[in-house]
Amino acid sequence: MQHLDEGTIHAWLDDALAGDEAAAVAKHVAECGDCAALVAEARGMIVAAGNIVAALDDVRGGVIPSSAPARAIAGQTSQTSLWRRLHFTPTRAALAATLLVAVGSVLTLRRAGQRDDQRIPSASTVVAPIIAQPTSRPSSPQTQAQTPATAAHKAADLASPTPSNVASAPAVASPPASRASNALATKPSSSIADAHQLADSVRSSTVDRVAAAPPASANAPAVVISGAAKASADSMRVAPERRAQVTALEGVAATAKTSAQRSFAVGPSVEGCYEVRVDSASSSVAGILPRFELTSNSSVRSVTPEGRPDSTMPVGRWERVTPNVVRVRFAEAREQQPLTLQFGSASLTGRAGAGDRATNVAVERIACRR
Amino acid sequence: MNDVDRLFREYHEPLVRYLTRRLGDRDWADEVAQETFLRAMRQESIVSERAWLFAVATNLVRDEARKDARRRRRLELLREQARAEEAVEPEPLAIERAQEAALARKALDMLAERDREALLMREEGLDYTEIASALELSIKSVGTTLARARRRLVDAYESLQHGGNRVGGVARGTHAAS
Repeated sequence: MQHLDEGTIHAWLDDALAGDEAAAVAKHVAECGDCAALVAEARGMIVAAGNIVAALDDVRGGVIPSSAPARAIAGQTSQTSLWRRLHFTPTRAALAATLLVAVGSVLTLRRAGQRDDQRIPSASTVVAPIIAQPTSRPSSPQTQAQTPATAAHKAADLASPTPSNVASAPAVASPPASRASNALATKPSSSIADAHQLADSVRSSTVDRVAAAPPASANAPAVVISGAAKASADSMRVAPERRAQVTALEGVAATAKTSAQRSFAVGPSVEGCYEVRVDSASSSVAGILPRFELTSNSSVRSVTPEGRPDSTMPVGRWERVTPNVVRVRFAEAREQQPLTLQFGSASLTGRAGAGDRATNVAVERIACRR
Repeated sequence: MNDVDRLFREYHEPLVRYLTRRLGDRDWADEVAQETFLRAMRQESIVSERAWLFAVATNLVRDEARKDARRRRRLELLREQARAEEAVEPEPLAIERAQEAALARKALDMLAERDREALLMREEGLDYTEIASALELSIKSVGTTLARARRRLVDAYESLQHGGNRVGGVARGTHAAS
């Protein structure tokens, strides 16, 4: 078989080829290293382009400003990062983080001394969500590694191998997301270099699952964050969510010739496909879709057991309640029964219903298939 | 057409999103979507609904863009001026999002019209057959069109982001078929 052209690769990845042709492409990709690299690169392009298009949706209402007005609003050029605008250098960030942790530790120890019978100060759980607050738009040079990450969930989706990939294209098949995320969990700060290292660690498949220990800063009690310390907290917000949600496109960083693939290869995301299991026949969870997809537009669509978009596509909405809690409301035709998803450091839990009627449900992330 | 309610429920949201992304103006997008559904009402039968709606909307945009480019641009500028005058100090995150949206808009505008439309349709979930039908392309060429559109968009975005002059057209990703 001839080498694959770019159009065929994209058609294959978009699931637009007929069965026999798709099988032939999969077979070729499995055997041809060059084409496997191109497939990995094309995956990055698909994700990146989707992210850029999704970034158009971030300004609500009226005219989406063109670059000139946006600069006027910002008062500076778009190339100037917020990091720089805050006069916030990595060194200062490190210093601020150290101070924050130090203050937190002192207060924690002081409190622990006061209450010997309660070794874990409740403040640590209070502040953890603050620091764990995800930002879809990290305001730091980390943006380079994620921007525009609004649809970075697609990375997770696309990183999940299609059946054909699994069957015959091991060179491009992605590892489980959890492994990738745990690989990154060892590197709280993100950067392009991290993405490289992540890809390397993913590729070597030697990264063991890392226990989801809270970051050092999570031990800090609820202190008033201001000035540099606040900026420091902002800069750290990305890390905890990444621990749970980040995935990677295997091979992308390794074969990338431009920074685009590196930039868009990773990103925090709650978007994706999920499966809900309800053990009890409780009426409080009656309206919940058993499988659904959270999209970057805050909408909800149903998916098949294989994670493919369902033809009926009942629509719902989701919203972030807190940084790591998402409330999902399903289609109007169903009972308006919200499902609350909590994205923990290493797991996802769900609770449906309201007040006393709420019931815990098992929620599992499944691969979205296109 | 009896089924227009269902059509509206099913396709209004993605159509408006597509048009908003395409035009950069929600109000304008709403107008075009409304006109599209009006035409659907007058249509006796539609074979491929989604492709038909996106094709009609795309053609309306093209026609109107040709007629009204200057007027629209002027209105847009006036509106942006008004907004800038009344704007309070925006949050840093909002600034950054606005900048990203502006960069994305600019990068998207750098694409050829057909590439842009194919890409936006694909992002709305249209399959290759529907895109081919809406844009009067052969199905075989949709993959090539999308590959080119994605690559150029990413290249353009990167160029704008880094302030360089390199824009799209960086031919790579294919190697000679042997």
